Amino acid sequence: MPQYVQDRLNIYDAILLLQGLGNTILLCLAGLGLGLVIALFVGLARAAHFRWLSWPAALYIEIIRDSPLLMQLYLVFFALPLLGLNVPIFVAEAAALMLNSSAFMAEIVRAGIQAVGKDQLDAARGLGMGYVQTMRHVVIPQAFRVMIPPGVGLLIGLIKDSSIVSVISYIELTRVGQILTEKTFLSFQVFGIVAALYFAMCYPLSRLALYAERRLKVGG
Amino acid sequence: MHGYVFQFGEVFRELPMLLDGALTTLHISLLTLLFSLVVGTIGALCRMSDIRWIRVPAIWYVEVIRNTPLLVQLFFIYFGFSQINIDVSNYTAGLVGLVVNNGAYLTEIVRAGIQAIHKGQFEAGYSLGLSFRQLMRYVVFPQAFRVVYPPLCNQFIGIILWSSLVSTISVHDLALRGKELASTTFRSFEVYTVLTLIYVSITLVISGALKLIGRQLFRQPA
Repeated sequence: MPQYVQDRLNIYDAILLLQGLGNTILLCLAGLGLGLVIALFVGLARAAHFRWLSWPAALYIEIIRDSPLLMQLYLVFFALPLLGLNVPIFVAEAAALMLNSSAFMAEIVRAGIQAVGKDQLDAARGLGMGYVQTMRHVVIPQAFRVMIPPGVGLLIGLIKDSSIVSVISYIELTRVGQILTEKTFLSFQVFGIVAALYFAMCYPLSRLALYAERRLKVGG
Repeated sequence: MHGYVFQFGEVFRELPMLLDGALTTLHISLLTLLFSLVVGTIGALCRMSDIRWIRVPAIWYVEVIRNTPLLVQLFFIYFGFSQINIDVSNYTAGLVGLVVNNGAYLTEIVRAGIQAIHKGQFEAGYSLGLSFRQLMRYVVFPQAFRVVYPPLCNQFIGIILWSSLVSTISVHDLALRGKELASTTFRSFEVYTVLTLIYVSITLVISGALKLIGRQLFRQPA
């Protein structure tokens, strides 16, 4: 690194960057974990044959997919206090990411469920299984296979999308980049490093998604 | 709800101002689509080139852009321009950021479209004595467009939604107008609810219109 960069960026800045990186990862894991639970229910509801289950699920998915994440972030951030919930920023942000990712994941879940052949359902019914049993023992284990490649793709999206949380001043990777730019005026270098860190997280995952897609390709 | 009284009146009074912002959003999205279609087409041709030093940079362009956040790319370009003393408006910086970003996605979409065309079409074109340019113009692109159209529409919807990020570099689009309104009226929740609904209606109307246009364009000849 050239001398003038070393003069303005020091070891403390590197630590700050790593903290930001850690917070980004935490945020994504929280968003992914909680989103997965909601997505499972919303996806099952979306694939259900009862209209009063599938329509609300479809509406939920559509509204979230047709509005910007930035708006959802602001809405959650300002709506939670109205509901009387004074939560730390982290929780509000994780909640917004969870809402957003759950809608996209629900579609992946639905596609996975619908990819399981109809004969499997008939066979399960023939064996006397109920709806819950069929889902639990027959459909979901097979659907899971189909869901992995798009799921990894979604995780990459989530890592990138979590950068938006910086607008609400949560100290994650992008926000650290802004702080360091304001301090050092080395925008190219700082955002270059920030971008490289995101790339280091996302690129292996995108290779993994490709590999999984080839490996887990369901026959047919 | 702790006795919170919803007041949408103040938001609706400023609706013309918000719709003006929506125009900026549409404007920047449309320009982004056009320019990134050019970037994507050039990118796809480079990406499929037999020449290594053309193909490899195109591959890395796509990989780097797709594996880093749009917001970071916008900051890189916006603050980077000022670091090297290039004086551009916020709008231009935002547009460049969006084009660089979507160019990479469109590269992949256009490539998939071209690769979907049967090898026989290329061979037939060459055996008719068409040059590479003619082959692309008269044989490949018209057919590829049919394949590319649906993902292109999705990408356009994505552009409209993600263009909200240019509000962070002070481009006066819908999102920024809303933010300003929220900070003057202190009606954040109402403002962002209305804003979300405006975005949802814009995307629904446009995706519906694009579907109709697509049906007209690609009607199977009787």
